[in-house]
Amino acid sequence: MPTKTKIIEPKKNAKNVLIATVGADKKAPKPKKVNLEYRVKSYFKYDSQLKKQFYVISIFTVKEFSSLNYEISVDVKKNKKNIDIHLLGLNTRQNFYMQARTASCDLFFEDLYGEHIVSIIKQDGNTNQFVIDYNIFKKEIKLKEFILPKKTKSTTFSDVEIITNLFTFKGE
Amino acid sequence: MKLCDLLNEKTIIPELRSTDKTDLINELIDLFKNDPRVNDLPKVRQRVLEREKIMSTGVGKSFAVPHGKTDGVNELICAFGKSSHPIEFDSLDQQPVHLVFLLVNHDSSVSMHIKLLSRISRLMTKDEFREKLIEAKTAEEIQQAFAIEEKDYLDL
Repeated sequence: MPTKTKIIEPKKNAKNVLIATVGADKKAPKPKKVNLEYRVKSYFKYDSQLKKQFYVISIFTVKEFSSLNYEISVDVKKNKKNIDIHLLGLNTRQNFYMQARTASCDLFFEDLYGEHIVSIIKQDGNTNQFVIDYNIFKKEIKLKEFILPKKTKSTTFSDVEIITNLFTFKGE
Repeated sequence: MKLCDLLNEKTIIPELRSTDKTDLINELIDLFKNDPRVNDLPKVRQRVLEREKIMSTGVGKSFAVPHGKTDGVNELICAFGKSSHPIEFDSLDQQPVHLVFLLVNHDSSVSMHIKLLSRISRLMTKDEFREKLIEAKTAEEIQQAFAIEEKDYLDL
């Protein structure tokens, strides 16, 4: 916050003009601490068995779990260019091979072209939105914008990464 | 899997006859007499009513979702009922219900059970959708309303 300089008028016969700096004694507000809970990753994936090109959105918890393997349970709504991913909670996953790992889920979409608003929505309504531009012809995925919807008083709990080294396409 | 795929004309009652909570739940459960997915109907009844004793599933806005998990079913069953007359259900908002969705799953189906409850709850909180259901007159119209409302959702 910029400080304002205020000149206090001297009393009669005063020798000096007092100059006070309003707000100078206040500390600058600390940047809000971001508590990342989820990581969103997106990439192209060609399934050679199904012979289909997929657009993958994966969600991972930041926290690692060592006692059980978990998957993130979600409910997904896709309406034109809006993809709403409601986070429902964690479920245990059948797996005999145990190791410390994050919880995750992979969502496979078949037709994403152009800018899409991907909303990650927690149970309490806290929402993080990412505008992601998919261009299969250029083999590009770009993160265009991060939005915190004002009406839900949301805070940042996730981020997005485009994983280019996981990109696979037909014929490669 | 979507809710609209789980409902059909045999599992939708467009006008419930019951006038109280217990009868209402029984009326919906009775739809599954001789259903091969159910191996013990009294057990299903008992489990759903036991769940209601813990806390009413009348979640407000004239809607209730009685549910339970039991090995009395081999697989998921669900039913939907609608009543033009108000039925007292001990709802959280103290208001009677008009719309009821019954959901009974096998004991082992924890994840799917939560997903389905969440989907039902998400749909039913929409005022417009509830109004559509109230206006629907036949089982087919009700099933169609669910199908339209769920068209943008991915399979569970």
